[in-house]
Amino acid sequence: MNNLQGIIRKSVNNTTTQFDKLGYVGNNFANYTTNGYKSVRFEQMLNENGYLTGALRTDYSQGSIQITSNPYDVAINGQGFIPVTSPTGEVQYTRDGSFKVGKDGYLMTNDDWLVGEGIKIPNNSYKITINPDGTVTSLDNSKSVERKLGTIPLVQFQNQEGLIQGENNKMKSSDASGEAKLVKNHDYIAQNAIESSNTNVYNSVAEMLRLNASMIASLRMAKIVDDMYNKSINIRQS
Amino acid sequence: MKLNAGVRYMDNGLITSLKAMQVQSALIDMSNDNVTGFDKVGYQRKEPVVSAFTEYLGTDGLSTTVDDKVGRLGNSGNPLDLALATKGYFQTQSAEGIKLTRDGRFKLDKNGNLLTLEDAKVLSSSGTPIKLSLIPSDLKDIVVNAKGGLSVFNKITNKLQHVADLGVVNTDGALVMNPEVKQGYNEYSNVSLQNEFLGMMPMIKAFDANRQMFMIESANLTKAISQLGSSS
Repeated sequence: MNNLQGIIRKSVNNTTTQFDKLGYVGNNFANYTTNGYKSVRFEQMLNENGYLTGALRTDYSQGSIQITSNPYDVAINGQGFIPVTSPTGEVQYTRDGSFKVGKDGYLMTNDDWLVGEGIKIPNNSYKITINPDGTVTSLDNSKSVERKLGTIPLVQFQNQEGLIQGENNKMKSSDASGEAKLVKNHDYIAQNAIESSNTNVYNSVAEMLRLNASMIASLRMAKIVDDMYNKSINIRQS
Repeated sequence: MKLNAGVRYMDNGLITSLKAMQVQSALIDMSNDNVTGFDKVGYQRKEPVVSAFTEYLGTDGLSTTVDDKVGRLGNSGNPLDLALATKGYFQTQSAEGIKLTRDGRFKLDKNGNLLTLEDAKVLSSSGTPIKLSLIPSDLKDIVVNAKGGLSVFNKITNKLQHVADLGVVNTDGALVMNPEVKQGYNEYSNVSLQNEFLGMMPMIKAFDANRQMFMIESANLTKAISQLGSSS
């Protein structure tokens, strides 16, 4: 559109999408300390006609791994998710491995979702070991043999970018993501470790500076065009 | 304009001023597109071309060319973000036909098709959509070299498996032999905001000047009509 109103609309359109983007960048910052959080990028596409559309993309790159002293802390060092089941029976997928022993002695997430098919931790256990392939073993006392309690499953998706955001740091499968498929013989699981978020502070700040510049520039454009508009309307006055 | 009393007034003076104002606002519109495109991946600056006789033709005398200088490259870390460090375009195919773009933000779907963010298929140098037979669980296993060759690391054979060459073409439709594809980078336009805003100053001033001319002509015309039209 080749008139003043069109310019104002494009400026407003750009300013509001930049503001949306600011919200997503802020969200990544807010989740900087969330375990296993994957940062979300708001990608903007400028069409030939000058209008903007946006798409959300999740960055599934590996977050850094921190060592903890809690034996139930599990990090995934590689691609994949741990399936967890809600109290109502719904299955979702998470990379936040800060587990605990919940009621009835089962291994659970922080918000009481069951890990895998249920791994019962005996309450008199001397030592719990989680192996890199996800098997959980227990020693009853320092001299006994290791007893297998169960396996923390690890699943992968054909297209993990197609996953949709679920509840509380979990993901849900969708048509675009494909079915979850169980990974066997892997060595991705690390005990006594937590994956931190993969939010890149420097990139986020650079992105914020860029969108701020664009937002201010578009607002300035709106002001310039508003002046021209005024002058065009009041062309009869000197 | 011919007044009733037979006085010839400046030919089309008012219209010429109005046309000039329209031309200036159309130029501002192009600058505004550049301002909007400033942080958009793959955007190329539009440059207005003011042809001869635009003072008579008005906005019909305007056209645009694309400034094809390579823009700012920024690291993104995503293996499927590709940028071209040379002149050229990726080819994409959608229901609307084949398009050229410098926006190299690609993704894979669950069948292994290489798609743009708007779900158009990315074409190879042989003109067919690129499809990965082996879908890697980690995007880091996808390697794109500077010539645009896309390969996937096969964990079973421990070798890079060649998939396709990206079809990078220039505006004539000919393949670019050495496209200098950068993996993990995005190209953030070639617009510089300060130049856009500085370039707008003369446009605004020209707009104001023509408005002033219009008002002077209008006042003169009013004066001529009222004086010549009075009976005394």
